[in-house]
Amino acid sequence: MDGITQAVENLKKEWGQAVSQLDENITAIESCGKTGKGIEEANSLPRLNGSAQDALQLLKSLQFQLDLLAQQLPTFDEVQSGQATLKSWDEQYKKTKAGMTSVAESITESLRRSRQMMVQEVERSASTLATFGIHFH
Amino acid sequence: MEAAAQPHPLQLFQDMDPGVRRFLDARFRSAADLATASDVEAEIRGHCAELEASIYDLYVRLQETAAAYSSCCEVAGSALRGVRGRLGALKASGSTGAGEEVEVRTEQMQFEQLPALASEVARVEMVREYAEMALKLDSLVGDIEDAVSSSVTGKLKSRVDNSEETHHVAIGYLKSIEDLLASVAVTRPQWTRLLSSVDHRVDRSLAILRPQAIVDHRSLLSSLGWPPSLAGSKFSSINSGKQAEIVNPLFVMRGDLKSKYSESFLALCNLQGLQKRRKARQLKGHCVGNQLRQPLWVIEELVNPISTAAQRHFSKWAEKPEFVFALAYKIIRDFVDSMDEILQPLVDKANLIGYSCREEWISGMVIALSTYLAKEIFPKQIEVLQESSSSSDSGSTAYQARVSWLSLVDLMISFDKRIQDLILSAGLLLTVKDDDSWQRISVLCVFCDRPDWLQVWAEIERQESLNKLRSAMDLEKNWSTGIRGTMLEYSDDYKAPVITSVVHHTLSLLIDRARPIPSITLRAEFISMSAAPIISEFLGYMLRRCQEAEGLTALADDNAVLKVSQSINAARYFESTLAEWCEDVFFLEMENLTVNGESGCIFQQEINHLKEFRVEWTDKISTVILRGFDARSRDYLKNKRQWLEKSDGPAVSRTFIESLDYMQEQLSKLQGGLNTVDFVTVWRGVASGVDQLLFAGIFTSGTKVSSDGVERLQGDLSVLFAIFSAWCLRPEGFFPRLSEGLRLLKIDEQQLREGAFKDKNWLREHGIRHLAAADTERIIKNRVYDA
Repeated sequence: MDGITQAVENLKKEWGQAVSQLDENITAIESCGKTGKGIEEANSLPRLNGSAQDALQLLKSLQFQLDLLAQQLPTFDEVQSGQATLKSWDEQYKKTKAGMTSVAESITESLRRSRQMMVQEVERSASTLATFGIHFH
Repeated sequence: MEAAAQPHPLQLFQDMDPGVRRFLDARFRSAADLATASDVEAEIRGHCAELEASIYDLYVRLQETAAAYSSCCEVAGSALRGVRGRLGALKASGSTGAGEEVEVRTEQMQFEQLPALASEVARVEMVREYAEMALKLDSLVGDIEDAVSSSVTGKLKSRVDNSEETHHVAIGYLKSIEDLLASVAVTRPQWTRLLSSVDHRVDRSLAILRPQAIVDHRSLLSSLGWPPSLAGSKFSSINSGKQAEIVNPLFVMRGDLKSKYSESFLALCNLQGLQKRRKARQLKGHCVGNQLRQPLWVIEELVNPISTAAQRHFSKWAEKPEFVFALAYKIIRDFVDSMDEILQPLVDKANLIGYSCREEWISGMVIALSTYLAKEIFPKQIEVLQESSSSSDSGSTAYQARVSWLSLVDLMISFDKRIQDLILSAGLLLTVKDDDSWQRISVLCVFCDRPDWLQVWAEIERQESLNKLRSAMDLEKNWSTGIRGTMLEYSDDYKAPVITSVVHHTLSLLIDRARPIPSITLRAEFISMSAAPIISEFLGYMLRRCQEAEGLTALADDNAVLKVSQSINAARYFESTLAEWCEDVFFLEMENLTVNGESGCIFQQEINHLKEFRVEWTDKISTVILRGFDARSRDYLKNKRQWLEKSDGPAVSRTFIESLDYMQEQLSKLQGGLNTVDFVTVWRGVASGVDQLLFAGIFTSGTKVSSDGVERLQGDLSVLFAIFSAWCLRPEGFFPRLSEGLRLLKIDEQQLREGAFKDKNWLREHGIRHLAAADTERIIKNRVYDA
């Protein structure tokens, strides 16, 4: 296999892995505030966000490398195929970034509801204790 | 004649009816009877008339009889059918007959009336239930009103302190009726009039009871010695750093006063809990969210008098806001523990869920302080700023006004930080920062009600930052490359000049100033007004710097190219930095605000402008190199005969080497000065330009090329490609026209067919894809093969 062709194949593998990693990060960020553990989730949010940012930077880097390598592929058909891949990567990057934005929108709301859930839990506990007290008497 | 006449009478006689014959025999016994023939005729005619009349009568009678018969048939048929049906039923059911039939009819009639009857019974029952409930509620409301009335009359009649007991009695009744109303609201939602009429009367009772309970509570607080004296918090005391202790009445109350206060406290808590329940019931179904939340009444009764007392001290320190914040913090801190230890158990006892006395106390005091700032401090600051900006002597006065404003904001930010530490020390949830809960514990909430003051602040911050930045930008040494940017996989560094670290630091400070603002919208606005203009200013400065270099030397000078490279590197650095910032949640949540207008992150416009700047000036650099290459290639391209000469000379044309050396030198210097990503853009631009330039000069200018000429051209191009192999693995890919033109020239003459240049498949098989048909035709026609 041609050296450049092999390099392009390696880039594609890296892209797939990076996208999977980023999807996991976005899912984890999205779940912040949904299980009611407000403190733990709020503390883990900066780490998850940082990891997502690193993944986005890696995607940018891979796009740049593919843009340079695609032009050097040995056959015209391979060049066209490489450029088509680059175009689809651009679309995927935009969709991933949009996912980050919508996740940020849900985080604040989730964390607020998390706080409300804690209040409701306290209310239920108080109600249970009251009932227990009545039975005890 | 007689013989003939004789058969005729015989024939007639034979056909006569026997009756008629007897009649005639009776009348005509002899020949003498023939004389009476006319009489006989008359008799016969009379008989005929009688017979006809008789026939008519019979006809009429027949008709009448037929009609009567017909109706008799119907009646008979109907009766027969009835009998038949009953027989069938009898046969089918095996019943004995009439008795059951009557029973069945009765049951059917009852069944038909049953729904109406049931409906009537249900309605009567509903009316009864309604009446019973109305009577019960009326009785309870009466109890409430009696309790409230006796409370008032009790106050008027005597000074006996039974108000707590009276309150508790009334509150007990109120709770009972609320339980009942909640039940009715669920089981009988259609009884809205009953519910609203009872609510109306209960609201009137509450309107009397609550103020009275509050008055009693305040009286008790006063007896306890609340608010405590703040005399120890004097100017000298605070100034000297000596912390005088404020006596806490909540810690020292004893005996009867303590129990009375506890009862009064519980009464107010119970009233608030009741109010909360009523509001929740009445607003059920509406998306109320946090709007139901009210500050804790009992804490408000502690906050209001002490904040009023504190404001008398605040007014003495109009010129010393740091003392205002110091006293406010001291009051909050000195009493915050008593909230947990003394009051929280009482709140828990009253079952007021979701209320933290510590948080309520801190929130109440913070809101009181922010209200004071909004009424007394900020208006004066604004007035001073406006006067200083309008007066002719605006130099030092305006500066002092801005410094004063920034100092005030610094105090607020510092105060908020200390307050948050107080809350965190109790283990309360602060990391869950939604706007609503945050604004209750931040004096910066002043800006939420007055966004125009936020704009003033942002403008001052922007101006102060810009003044510092301009002096840094004017220092030439700051434009040299001295720092490493963020390490990225495809770029070892941005080669950004030192000035970028100064700008970065400035932007980071402004963003850190925005972080404590307790509103996403206002944080976005602050950053848009303070940080974003800094970027625009820096970009404008770089643009003028590049235009100056271009104007002097048209970028032909190395120093000019260096200046442009530095600016491109700086633009690349900030473009990447801003994009990375905007991937942080802090900025991502601002993207969803409609305040931004256009889609994208908060710095999208600045990022776009930086990109436009980079693209424009990398293109200019490529153009300058191409222009130099073109000028140095004139002799090489002008020499048409070299493509027909025998190759006895050097392997590569001497004139072409000069052009290539120039280009290689320029690109190598750029590689050292430009960041990697933009350098790739430049050399690809140069390659593309050279591809077009040489192709036009050699292949499409009518030049005749022999086999020796092809060999020479291949040598020249291989040197060209070798230069670019320093930056890529397969440089031919970036010179598509030259590569394909050479390939076309190298095709054997035997493979060429007439009109081959018009056959796209034939061209594609030989790797020709980027050349136009006209160019292909011209190249083939100009190829000179050996004779």
